[in-house]
Amino acid sequence: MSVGKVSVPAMPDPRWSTEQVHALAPDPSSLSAARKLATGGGWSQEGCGGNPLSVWGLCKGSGSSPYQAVVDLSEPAYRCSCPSRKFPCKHTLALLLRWAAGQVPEGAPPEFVQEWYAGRAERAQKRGERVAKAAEPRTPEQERAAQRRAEKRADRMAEGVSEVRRWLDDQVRHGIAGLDRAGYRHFDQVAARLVDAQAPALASAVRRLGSIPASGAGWEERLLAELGLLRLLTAAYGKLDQLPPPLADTVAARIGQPITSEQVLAGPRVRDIWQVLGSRDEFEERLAARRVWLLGRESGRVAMVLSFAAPGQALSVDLVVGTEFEADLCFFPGSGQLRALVADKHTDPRRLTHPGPVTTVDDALSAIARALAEDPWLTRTLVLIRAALIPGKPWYVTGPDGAALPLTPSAPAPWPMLATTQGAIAVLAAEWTPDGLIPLSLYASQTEGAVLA
Amino acid sequence: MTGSEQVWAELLSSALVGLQRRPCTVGSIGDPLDAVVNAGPVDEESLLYAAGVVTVARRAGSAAVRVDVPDAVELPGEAVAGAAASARLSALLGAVRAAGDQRGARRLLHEWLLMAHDRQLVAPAHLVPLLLDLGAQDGTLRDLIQSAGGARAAWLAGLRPQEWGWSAPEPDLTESDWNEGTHRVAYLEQLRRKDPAAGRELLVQTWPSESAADLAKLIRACWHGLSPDDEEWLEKALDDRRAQVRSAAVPLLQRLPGSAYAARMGERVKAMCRVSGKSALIVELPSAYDAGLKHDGVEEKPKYGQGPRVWWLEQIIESAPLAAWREIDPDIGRLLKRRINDDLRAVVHRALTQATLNQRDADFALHLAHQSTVVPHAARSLVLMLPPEQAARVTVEALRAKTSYAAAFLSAVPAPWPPDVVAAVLARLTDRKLTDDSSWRGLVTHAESGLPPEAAADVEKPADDLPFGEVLRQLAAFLHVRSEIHREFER
Repeated sequence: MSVGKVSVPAMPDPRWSTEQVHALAPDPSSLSAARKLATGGGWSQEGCGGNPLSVWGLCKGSGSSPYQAVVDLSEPAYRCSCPSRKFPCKHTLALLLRWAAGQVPEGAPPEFVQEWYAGRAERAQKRGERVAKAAEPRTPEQERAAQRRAEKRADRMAEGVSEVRRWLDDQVRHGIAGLDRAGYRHFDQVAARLVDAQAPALASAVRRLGSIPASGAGWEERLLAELGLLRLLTAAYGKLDQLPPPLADTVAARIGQPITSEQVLAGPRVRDIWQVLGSRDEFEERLAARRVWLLGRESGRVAMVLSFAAPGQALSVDLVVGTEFEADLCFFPGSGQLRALVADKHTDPRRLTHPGPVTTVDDALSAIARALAEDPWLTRTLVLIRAALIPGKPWYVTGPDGAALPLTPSAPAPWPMLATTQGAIAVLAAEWTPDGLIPLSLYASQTEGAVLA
Repeated sequence: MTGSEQVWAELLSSALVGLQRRPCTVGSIGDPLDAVVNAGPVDEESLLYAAGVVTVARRAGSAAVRVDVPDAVELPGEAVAGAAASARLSALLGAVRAAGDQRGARRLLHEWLLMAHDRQLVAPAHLVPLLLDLGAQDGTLRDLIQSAGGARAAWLAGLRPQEWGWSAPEPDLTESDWNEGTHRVAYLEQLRRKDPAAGRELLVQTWPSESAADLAKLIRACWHGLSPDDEEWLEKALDDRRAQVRSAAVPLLQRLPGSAYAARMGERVKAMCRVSGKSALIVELPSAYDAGLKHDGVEEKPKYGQGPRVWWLEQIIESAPLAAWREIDPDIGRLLKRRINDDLRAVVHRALTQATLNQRDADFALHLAHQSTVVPHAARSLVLMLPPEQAARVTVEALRAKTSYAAAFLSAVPAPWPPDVVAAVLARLTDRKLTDDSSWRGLVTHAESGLPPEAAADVEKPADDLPFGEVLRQLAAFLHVRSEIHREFER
């Protein structure tokens, strides 16, 4: 689906807030180093402007020649000639801080910025070629080889999935009451075999089961629910060819069928003004994952952009909560799939003040019911509602009509949001989970930008 | 119970103990799920299948609960710090919460709060909870945080009394707090602040029925509102058999230099100490722990590895009025320079420092602060007692003389420093002949907060040619940040 014409409201101030720059820092020490640099006198030849909109400057370092720092604000993308492995490094962060504080004058990009543009354009072209290649029909020989590989992999996955099916049946045959004493090992062993069977998504689902028996009162019921859902998933995988193709894609994705970004980017594009409404980080098996929630202003469509980082690496910071930009998104194949990649940005990100479309609590629940019909294994999605926060155990968010939903007790209490609204109705973006909502960002008339939880 | 709830309960019971021990038969769930879950006996596969179906149905069918929509809270309009200053506060709070560079960030935050306080500005709403959290950990910032939090902080604290209750005003205690014995010490303390005489009466009334430990606590609570009118009952405390009661009274009596107790101590000092020529003081230690010393709350057993007689001497000097010393030698400068027999000079000066602090005697403070026998933290307390101009003057002198206690003096000069102190500090910081000197580092730390931000250039310029240039560059960077903070408030 593609949205035809989208009007772009004029935005006087493309500059980010200092808070938004802080959100880009890979760790606190980078930020405090950047803050020191930003206020020091080591900067020269600074400027912002150009197309795409960028900011650049030279920063005096320990060596003889200064470091060249440049940020393409439309992505954002960073480059600095310093040897740091942090990304973005303290110099680029400091540059952004200075820009956010209004200390960088407008100007024309100097040579080192132009060179960087050229290099990136070249790489983008190569990437485009790869995408085009993925969409190209393959030669019969390539086709046969790919098919052989796919079949081999499918066999292993099918074997892993049926093993899980037997394991699930065993759990209810012997009873789940004692599993709170069995520990994570009981689940991790099965998960490890699924990784070998090249079913990584199913493997993480089984691994996540391991935390349920330690999650407090009522864990038995929650565990049975998840076991039941996994049983539906494994059963569906057993008759993949009988399912409608979009649902079959969803099932395959939930098991862990691989798909390359080139394949995704070759799919249909959805153009809209995408509003970045929330970002949450999670850690699994030492791998950090960042989940960024987008909402299409015209289509009302929810999208989720995932990024991953190995230990010691910084997570992707390209999408800044509280901004919006016009872009083409490519969704992963499958019914009810929220996961997407940003294919092409058409405008620079700009500050978001009035997100939309905003719904009521009841309408949000209806949308979730429809989403579950498309993907029964859905455990999180985005809602944007007009609501007031009520502190308590648990907290509630309530619409003006008194329709309320609890916040999940495991999320930190959103005191900064309540302090802002004073209990009045505001626009709240939240992640829906079966256990309750997790507040992401809030937009109130009293504030200029997003207030984060 | 609906069909799906009943079925769920059946499924759960069997899943818990195991299907092999508890077979399961499900009834009808009802339309439309009957189409996918067949009623009748189930095996493992169909049990889990039914559990999955019911779970999805529950999630999709979950409805909102109905609540009364609360009214928004009305708060008085308060002037909020501008966008740049607010962004700075957010950054500083982040830095204080993150590990590393804690002290620097905390001092800057302190400066931000002071600036906001002076301009009667409050923090932006969303940062108030973070400020309240910080106040819960750091008592030194509380007054400023309350000011920056304004009415919003007070409202939020009421919602979360356990964490943020520190910012609520101290509750007014009533007589029942005294009668029921719940907050007796706090009640007496509050009463003494409001009406010292009423507090005194209450204490005297309750005296006979109190245990030694309780009475000692209540006596200490009378520290507020202390006046010569309290002498009578304090003397009575000295007559008490119980040592705990006697020693509780001593610190209070030490602050009443006109009392009979002080006069007795003064007589003891005059009997023990006499001048000899122009440059010596002869001190005779008390020969025995007599009934008089015991009565006046002098402790018999020494605290540290001291000899008992030296310990008695120290306590006597601490409690004696400084007027007694003026009788021994009216020239205080000369008195303090005098040699003292048996290595007693350090002990005598230490005890005199304590007496000076008790009696708030600026003259003695000025002279004592310059004695090499006085430790830095005591020197700081002494300089703090001086009027600001005098404190600045002695600090400048100490800096010019390059004495090691200059840093201690400097810490007692309130920021922003007067121009002559700034000039003396800058001269010291950029001293070319400087060798490794630990007191110099102390100066740098104080200079971070005390120097005016405009001094950054004066610190940075000579940095390249100095052995400790890097330290100076860091100091300049800190001053730059402070000047940014100032500018952000002016915008």
